[in-house]
Amino acid sequence: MPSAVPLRCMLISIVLGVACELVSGRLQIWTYRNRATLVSNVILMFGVVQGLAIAGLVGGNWSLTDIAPLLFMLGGVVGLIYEGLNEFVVHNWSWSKTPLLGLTRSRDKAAVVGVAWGFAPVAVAVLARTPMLS
Amino acid sequence: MFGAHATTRGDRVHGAVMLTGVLLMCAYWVAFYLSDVTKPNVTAIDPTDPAAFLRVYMGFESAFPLADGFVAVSASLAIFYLAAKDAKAVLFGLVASGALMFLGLIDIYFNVLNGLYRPSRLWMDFGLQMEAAINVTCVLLSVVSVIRFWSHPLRRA
Repeated sequence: MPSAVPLRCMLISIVLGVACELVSGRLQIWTYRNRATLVSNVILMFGVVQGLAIAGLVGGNWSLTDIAPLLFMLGGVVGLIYEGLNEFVVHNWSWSKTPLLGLTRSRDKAAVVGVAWGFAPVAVAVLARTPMLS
Repeated sequence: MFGAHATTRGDRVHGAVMLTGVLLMCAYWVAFYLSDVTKPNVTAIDPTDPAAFLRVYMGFESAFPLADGFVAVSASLAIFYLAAKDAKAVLFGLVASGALMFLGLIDIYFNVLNGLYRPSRLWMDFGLQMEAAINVTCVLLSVVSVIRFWSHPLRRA
């Protein structure tokens, strides 16, 4: 199995982040207070934290079946802290009135997206191990 | 903004303790995969066939991360909703507490069956000392959390 090089994980995660932001922008799921927050979300949260640190450095060369639960745990916990900080403290992005998976309250949307962050490092680890991207 | 119930000092302490527990759980599993610091001295435990015991121990421990991930995420959701003064804090708090007790008891009984709590072993092995401390913390935190969440005003909100 090809190894998951941290830098490759970071790049894949940034691409994933750009895709998420494009989909969110198109469907108007959330909006940022300023463009710098959007860029730092993609580069720092997707690229550095979820991609480089979690999927790349922690995930390393472990087989996916061994490491996927830990990647989900780390991604989800970090994601919930991140969404919680935004929801209760900094308010750098806000949720539109469009329901998300049937949820209408912003705190519920933040909680669901916080848990969904757990899938980010797992998806990056899967992609980093596909022969086409390695 | 977040509801009728004010966040009490007890809620803040409870949230901080749960968050510390979640972060330590994450740190434990990162250390488990990236180092040997969490692992017991298998040669001291079974001098005749340490490799056999290591296989059993690693097989057992490696089954935990998915369930521990469930506990960590459920507890994080409880903290999140506790900060929001939302009744869902009680739901996720009780789910996380019950799951934590379940996992703690499985771990404790594995250790009892394999003699890992023997004082002579505990005394010299940092990995086993950490294991015992985690077991005690899991049970205590679970009991305290169940009592606290069940008696929380948000349960009747």
